[in-house]
Amino acid sequence: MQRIQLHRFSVTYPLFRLEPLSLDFSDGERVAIVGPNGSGKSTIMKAIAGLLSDYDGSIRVDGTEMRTATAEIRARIGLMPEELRAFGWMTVRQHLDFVSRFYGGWDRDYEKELLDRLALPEQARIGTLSKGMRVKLAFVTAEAHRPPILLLDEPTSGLDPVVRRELIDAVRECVPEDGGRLALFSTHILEDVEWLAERVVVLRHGRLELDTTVELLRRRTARDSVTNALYELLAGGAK
Amino acid sequence: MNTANFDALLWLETRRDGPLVLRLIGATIVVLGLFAAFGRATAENVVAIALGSGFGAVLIVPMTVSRDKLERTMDFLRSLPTTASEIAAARFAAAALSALPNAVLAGAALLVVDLPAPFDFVSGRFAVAATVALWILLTTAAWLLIAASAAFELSSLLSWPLIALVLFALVLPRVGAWILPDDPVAAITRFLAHPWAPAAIAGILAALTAGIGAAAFIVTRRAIARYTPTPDRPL
Repeated sequence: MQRIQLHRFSVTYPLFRLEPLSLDFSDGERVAIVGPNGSGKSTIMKAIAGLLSDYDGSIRVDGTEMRTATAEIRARIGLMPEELRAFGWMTVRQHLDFVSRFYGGWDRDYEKELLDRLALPEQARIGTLSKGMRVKLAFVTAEAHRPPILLLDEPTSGLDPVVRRELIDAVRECVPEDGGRLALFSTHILEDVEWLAERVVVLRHGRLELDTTVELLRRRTARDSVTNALYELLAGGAK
Repeated sequence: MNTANFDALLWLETRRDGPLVLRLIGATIVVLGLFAAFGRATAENVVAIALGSGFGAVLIVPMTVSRDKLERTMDFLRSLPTTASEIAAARFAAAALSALPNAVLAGAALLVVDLPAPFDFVSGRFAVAATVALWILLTTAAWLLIAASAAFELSSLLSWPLIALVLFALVLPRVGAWILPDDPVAAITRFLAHPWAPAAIAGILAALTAGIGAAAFIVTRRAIARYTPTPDRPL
């Protein structure tokens, strides 16, 4: 089932323009949106999450245009932002209790499972958490209601290798390939693509450069490493 | 409006504004105690202190609104599946709750002190009505400030809106002097002597509150709906 449809979606800022792009994303896909910093990855993620209203073209989630999406439609999306801007005075427990009130399908058992798996201390204040812990909390916040659409905006950016691996493993297990849910994640860390995605969308200078499967990319470039293929593509080399 | 979302947002607002309201009440009681200890707890002083702390309470929720934008916790609030109307409604309700203790404190002061004439009518039997009127006025002022904080950045609030406020403050007394009779206190006293005066005051107050409140709500809701994280650069 087609979950998300971007049709001639574009955004213009004073110093940046995301050229019109049309993309469809379906259930069961794990898609990486790749590009250097400032290529428009997070703009797409935020627009799909309903956080941008000033854009041209359309974004439809389950057939509903996101400019006019109701809270019910937005509750089908779990957004893990690049940086969780939650309230520092709240404990992890209070934060999750607060957020859970907005989602009918919040699963307490699953939340507990995620907290245990990621070793998040429930009584710690958010303001005292390390960067890695905050990222883990952002993931639990986005995932605990098992949304049909999971958006991960630069999930591994700035993490140490251990936490990064922990998080990647958690995402892989929570959103298995062909598991019926759609996971989109943006990243500029090319190594993550092979771990997390089967499909890759490449953006460069605000333009859609490539939309293909990781498998096809591997075959097309006749290379073992998707990372190297993507690196050359982004650096303007071989395609 | 989704009442579950509204309840959650109101919980958030009261959880973070409540301690400030309590501190303000505590500080007011300490000041009143000091005035009493030094024998300065005159009727005028008691009412003035209670009213003064009420103006402090008016600022609590608008300050939270500005902080949400400054610290970008607004990004988080907007990412939740809730509407701008629900966020605005929770803030307006929190402002009404924040103003309540100070209005009650001022009302209690009015019950026990004897104000000098011609203001003696608000003591005693009119104390409850005066408390309600004060609460409504403080709440309406807070709503206006919430709308201003939501619609403008803190830095821009200190430019032309401040100039507009100063001009308004300069013009208002002149307009008032032009409209009001020569002896306003006597006119007010005469007006209050009419049996329909309380109903007229209540009607005017209700109309003003409804009009200003509706306008402030629309401005706040629009500002929240249009809030975009870091709109001037690619995200």
